[in-house]
Formats: sequence, C-alpha cells, structure tokens
Amino acid sequence: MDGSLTEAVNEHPSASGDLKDPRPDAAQKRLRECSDQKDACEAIREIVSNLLGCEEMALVQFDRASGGFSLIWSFGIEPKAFHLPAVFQGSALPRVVAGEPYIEEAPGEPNLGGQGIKASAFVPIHFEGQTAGVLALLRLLPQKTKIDELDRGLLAVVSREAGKPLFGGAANAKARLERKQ
Amino acid sequence: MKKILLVDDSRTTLLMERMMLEKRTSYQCITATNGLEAVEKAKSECPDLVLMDVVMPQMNGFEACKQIREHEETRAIPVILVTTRGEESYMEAGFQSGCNDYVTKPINGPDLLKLLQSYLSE
Repeated sequence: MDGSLTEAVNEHPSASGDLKDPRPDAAQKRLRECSDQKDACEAIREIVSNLLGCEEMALVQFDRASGGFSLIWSFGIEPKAFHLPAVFQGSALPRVVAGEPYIEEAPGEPNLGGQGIKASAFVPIHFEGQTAGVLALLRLLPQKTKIDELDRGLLAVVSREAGKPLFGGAANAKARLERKQ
Repeated sequence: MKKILLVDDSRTTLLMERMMLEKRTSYQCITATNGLEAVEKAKSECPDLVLMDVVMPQMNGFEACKQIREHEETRAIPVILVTTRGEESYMEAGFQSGCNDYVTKPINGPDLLKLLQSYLSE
C-alpha cells in the first residue's frame, strides 16, 4: 500500500468522528462483498462513477514478466479503441508499477500526445504485495473539475481492496470451498 | 423519527447514503433499487422524503417521480433526484417530473445533509 494515499485518509482533517467522509467505508464494504471479478468490476464502476465522478475508466492487468499491460475491462469507452495514454507510458509508469498513484493535477489539459484521451488518474491495484493491475480514470464528469484530497482517500481503498476479488480467483474459490466444508 | 426512502440501483451508492445518514442523523432509512419499487414503497411506507437516482432499470427516476405525484397518498412527499447527469435539459426534465430538488453526483455529504434538513426540519 502506498504511503501517499494512506496519509490522505488518515491525516485529512475530516477523517475523524462524524465529519469523516463516508465514501471510503462504503467502497471498502462493497469491495469486500464482491464474489468474483465481474462483481468487482461492477463495484469499481459504481465507486468511480457515482462516488468519485468519472464517466470513463479502464482496468488493465500488469504482466510482471513482460512488463506489459492487457485490458480486462472498461466502461464508457470502446474497448477496441482503448490504449494506455502516452502520459502513462512516460512519467506515470514507473510510479504506478512501484505502487503509487498518478493523479493528473489538471485533468482537462492535453497530456496524451494527441491520442484524444484525457487521463485523470492511474491507480495501482495491489494483490499479494505487488501491483497486479492499474485502474485508469479518464474523463471526469463535467461537474467534477479535479481529483481532490478526499478522492485520494477513496482511491486508496480501491487500490488496497480491489485486487483480491479481481485477481484472486483461485484463492477466492479455495476460500469458498473451505467455508462450505 | 423521520423516514427517508433511498432509491438507487447502485449498491455502493445506497451503502454510502445509508452509512452517512445513519451515522450523522436520526433519520430512518429504507431502500429501493428501481423506480417501480420506489413507487410501491412510497405508497406502503409513507416516507417523509424520497432521495432517488434517475437512471435505473425497470422505471427511471423521472417516471417514478411522476407516479409519486399522481397518487393522492404520496403526492406531498418531497422528492430529491440525484444523478450523474448535470445538463440543463436533464434538470429541466427532473423538475417537469415534479421533483422538489435535483442534485448531481458525486454527492457532497454536508451539502446533501443541509438539503435534507431543509425539507425535514420540524
């Protein structure tokens, strides 16, 4: 788990008592209730679209051996037209693979080398202590101008909790079998 | 105790709204996951307010709001529509359906609480 996102949750002035942002707790509960990868993708869509305010997103799996990425799910964009934006291949890549999020400070600005996609954030998805995938947040809703400190707390939960239902298929199946026995 | 009917097809949104309201207020929350269920629960549960998503399966929030306004027993219940769509045409359609207020996602917790209190204060 990366430090910066965790700090966003723990150190934000509203992170205590009744003023605490309710979105991270709701997102955590929802993700922990996911039964499989399909449900996890639906939970991510709900969290990113409804709680954060982003209408285009894609999830890619990271192949550590080759260093490559493959698209496993997207929402709001044509899967065939999707490619990781240039900014990701440049400055964001090493940071995200190392487990830190990349948040675009000015998400409306061109950052993609003329590829026509606006990227807002790249969030590493952790599984078994490593970055197993990346959630790319593209266009934000018109009424949402930027990803703020509280949003970082929400993304920290996705980063930490989504890996198990997304990539832990075999482990999840084993756990279900053990619960049945 | 005031009763709020929360309507959304997103489990996550319902969870968040419920957690926020139950932690910070004494309102009782009941839920529905589509417009049809919302109309039925508005009739059977007589909530003090309906907080409802627009884009939902089976019956959307606009149509559900219209039906709530058509029935004598639910006509006076305040309805607040919540949606990701902030365009003027959508907001206009919302008010034409009879809603009292229209808020866009992502929900700002403190703002929503103030809005609810403005309708539910004694």
